[in-house]
Amino acid sequence: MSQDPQDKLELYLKKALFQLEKAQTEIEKTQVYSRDLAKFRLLVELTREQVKNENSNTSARTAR
Amino acid sequence: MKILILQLARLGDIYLTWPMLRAMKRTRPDVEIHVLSRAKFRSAWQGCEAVDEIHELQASNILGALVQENPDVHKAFADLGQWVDSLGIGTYDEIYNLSFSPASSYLTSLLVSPKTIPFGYTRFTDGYLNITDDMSAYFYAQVGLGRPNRFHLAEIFASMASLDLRESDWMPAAKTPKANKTSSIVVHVGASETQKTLSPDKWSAILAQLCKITDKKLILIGAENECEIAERILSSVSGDQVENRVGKTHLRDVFALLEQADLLIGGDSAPIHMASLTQTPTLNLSVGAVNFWETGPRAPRSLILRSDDENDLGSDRVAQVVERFFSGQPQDLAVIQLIKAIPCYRCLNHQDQEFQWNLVQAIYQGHSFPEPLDQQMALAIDQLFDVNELMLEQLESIRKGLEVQKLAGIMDRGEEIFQALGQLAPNLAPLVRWYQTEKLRIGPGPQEAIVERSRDVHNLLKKVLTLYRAPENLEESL
Repeated sequence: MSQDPQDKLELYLKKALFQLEKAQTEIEKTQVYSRDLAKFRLLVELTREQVKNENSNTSARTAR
Repeated sequence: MKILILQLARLGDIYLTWPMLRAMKRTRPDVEIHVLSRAKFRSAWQGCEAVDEIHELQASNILGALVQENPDVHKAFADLGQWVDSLGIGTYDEIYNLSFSPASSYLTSLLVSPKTIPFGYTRFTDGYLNITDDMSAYFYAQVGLGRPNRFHLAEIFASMASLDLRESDWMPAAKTPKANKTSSIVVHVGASETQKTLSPDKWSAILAQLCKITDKKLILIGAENECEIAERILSSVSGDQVENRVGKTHLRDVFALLEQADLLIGGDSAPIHMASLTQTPTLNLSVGAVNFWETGPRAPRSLILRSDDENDLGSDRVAQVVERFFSGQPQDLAVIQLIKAIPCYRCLNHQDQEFQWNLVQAIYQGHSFPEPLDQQMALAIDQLFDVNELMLEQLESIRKGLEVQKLAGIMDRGEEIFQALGQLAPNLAPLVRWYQTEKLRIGPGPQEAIVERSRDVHNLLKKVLTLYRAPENLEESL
């Protein structure tokens, strides 16, 4: 049975978020806060928002 | 002067931003206003003449490299960097972050330069949350579900820029043709979240009741993915009084429909904010987890029927309110009514809600502090006072040279007790959250400066608690 594209997308995002969070923990063990780390955290947060939002069958998404 | 407005939230929040932008352009005509919003909501800025340029957050482009079998983190990071650079780092004189989200705080911190003044959430140099202005601190502490705030979001946004809204700031989209009234009621059956609207059965019952009390055309609107809901609603409504436009309207069409309508009926969603701009009276059926004070309708004569659960919202009750609206009969006290004031609604409140709002006004606006409601609150105040004294003693010890590390455990325990007391005595939660927010606002710096600022916060808290320990002084403000 083929997977719903929305479910597949959510699965990919969750997998990506897991990797990002793991990488963030590693980076923060060795680096002080910097612009690059701010960008990395922004990437993590944008992914986190997207995981929360992707699987909702509504016209708009909760973002605030 | 170039200003960037970060509005990464939903359609409704975008429309609630329009009045602020108009007030900004009205008071500072030379400013160039740029907005940054999600690409899928770009069309919601159409017609807002105050906006000079729109920048997009296209999440699918930035996160594209992550959404695959083997996520490519390096590429996603590079794509994100490229996008951030494209937004013009350091080219803005002021940035207003109206999104209040972690992502937007990092983005703001990446876009500021030494010449930029940021408003809203950003980040300190050590990465901790930096709440730049008092209004945003108020937002952090008191705004949202279950919080006592009664200021409307449109006013909160405007206050961040020290702007007062005028009636002329609430206008429909520019170039919306002025239409004649068509004796219609627009009914928005959808919502951004399922819990913010009613079930199809409930809508069917309401439409059936409305057909009994009015001859006006009932025009259903909603998004494309809500067509099935509309079909279900209409399957049990007979006659041709109801016109189904769900999934058939663009946002500009909705503006036109609202301009022509006598009334909008709907949940807490974008059309009620569009109706605030077209000045179309609205009956907001406010169900579930929403705070009508913050996101209710603003068009004159608007009403709110508030209910935690749709089962408590009878279709005959909705019809009765609509009938009274059109006949000009007064509504009963349970109907929340828009008034020309701030806060902008009149309604009956539970005494706990009233106490918490009065406490908020005392803390932030210098009003008198409200009388404690019960003995439990008096006990909690005593405990807060004792813990606060203990923490002031620790700060004094640090001032005298004792190592911070030796006292950190006690300070942490004190913060935990504050948190617990805020939960045990919910009426004091606004005060505890104010304290916590002010502590959070203390940024990185030399130890002496941090200790001094911490002492200032604890001493202010002490002042409030002292008033409560001698209630005859409650008339005094801070």
